[in-house]
Amino acid sequence: MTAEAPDGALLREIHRGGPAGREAELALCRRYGPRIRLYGLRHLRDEDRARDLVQTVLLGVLQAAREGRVRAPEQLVRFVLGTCRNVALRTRQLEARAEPVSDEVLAAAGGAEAPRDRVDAAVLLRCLSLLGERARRVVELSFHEELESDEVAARLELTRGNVRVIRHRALAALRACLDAPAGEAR
Amino acid sequence: MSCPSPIAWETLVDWWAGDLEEQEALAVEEHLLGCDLCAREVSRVAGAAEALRTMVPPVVRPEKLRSLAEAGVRIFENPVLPGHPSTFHFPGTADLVIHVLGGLQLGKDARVEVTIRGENTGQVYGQLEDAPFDAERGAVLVACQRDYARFDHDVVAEVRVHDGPRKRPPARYTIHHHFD
Repeated sequence: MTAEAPDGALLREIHRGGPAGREAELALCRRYGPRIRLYGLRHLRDEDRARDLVQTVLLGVLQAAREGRVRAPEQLVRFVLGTCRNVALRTRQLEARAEPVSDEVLAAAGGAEAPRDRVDAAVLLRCLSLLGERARRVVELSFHEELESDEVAARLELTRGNVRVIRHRALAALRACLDAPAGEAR
Repeated sequence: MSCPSPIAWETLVDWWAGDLEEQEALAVEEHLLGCDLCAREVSRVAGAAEALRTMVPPVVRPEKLRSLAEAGVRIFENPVLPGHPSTFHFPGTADLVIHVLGGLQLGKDARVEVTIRGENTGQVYGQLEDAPFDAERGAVLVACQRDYARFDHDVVAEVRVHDGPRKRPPARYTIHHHFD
């Protein structure tokens, strides 16, 4: 069972169990773990909570796959999304960490962790300084102060549409600058 | 790895910023969970957005400073007065240093401009037209991080206060850094 096996093949192996099933579980965790983490970051805005979400969702997905409750690939994505939504909602409601899961799933999910993007503070500062004043304010208000577009628009006397366009471009420029080899982002 | 209908960068940014209608957001999420190519692209959006969310801005608000301290960040303060060059060794035990640029008269309605540049290179590291300040302490709080060791170690911060009709000359603070 290779890491590139389609979801349907992984689900079948997991349902069959045994060593091949265990391998398929790992492949499924590696595939979906980073995507679930991004969902968690987007909705929970916290790295640790996003990682808790990954573990809780993967536990639910593996259990369902082992029991044969999820068989078709298109069912899998919907199942993952539904579980993500429920867990994220519960996490927000409780404002607490998700329950810890078994060592077995922790081990399986271990391979699924995407590396944290550790951005050098000096590089970020330099890249921000390359944006125009207005673009810098838009991305700071949107992503650092986490204001909604309407609030950003009111604060900077822009329309909501302007804010979105400036934000798309500014974030693309910032990303390109962060990706540039050291010394080239000028 | 391919995708028959990749999600546009603009849509991914809007999704991350919470600017899509619920049904559209759900469709995007379903696609992202099932598509490696688009998940990789949104991770580029996320990386930049998360860097902004978690960054310590060059000039910080007093409340932000308190929340960082409560979160366990080890903060060291370096009081600096205008016109008196300060030599500063970044402590090995500090996560963050705050240069407290003091000696300012700051009304609550003041507008404060701050420019931070290298003393020798003139390179601008930060320029804020409406910077936050600590009115109680009469100070602007400039954050310094170990990563900044790659910048010019000798830095000049210029603070200009606009408060009422009277024009005041800018206050200049010179800080010579030493990083271990």
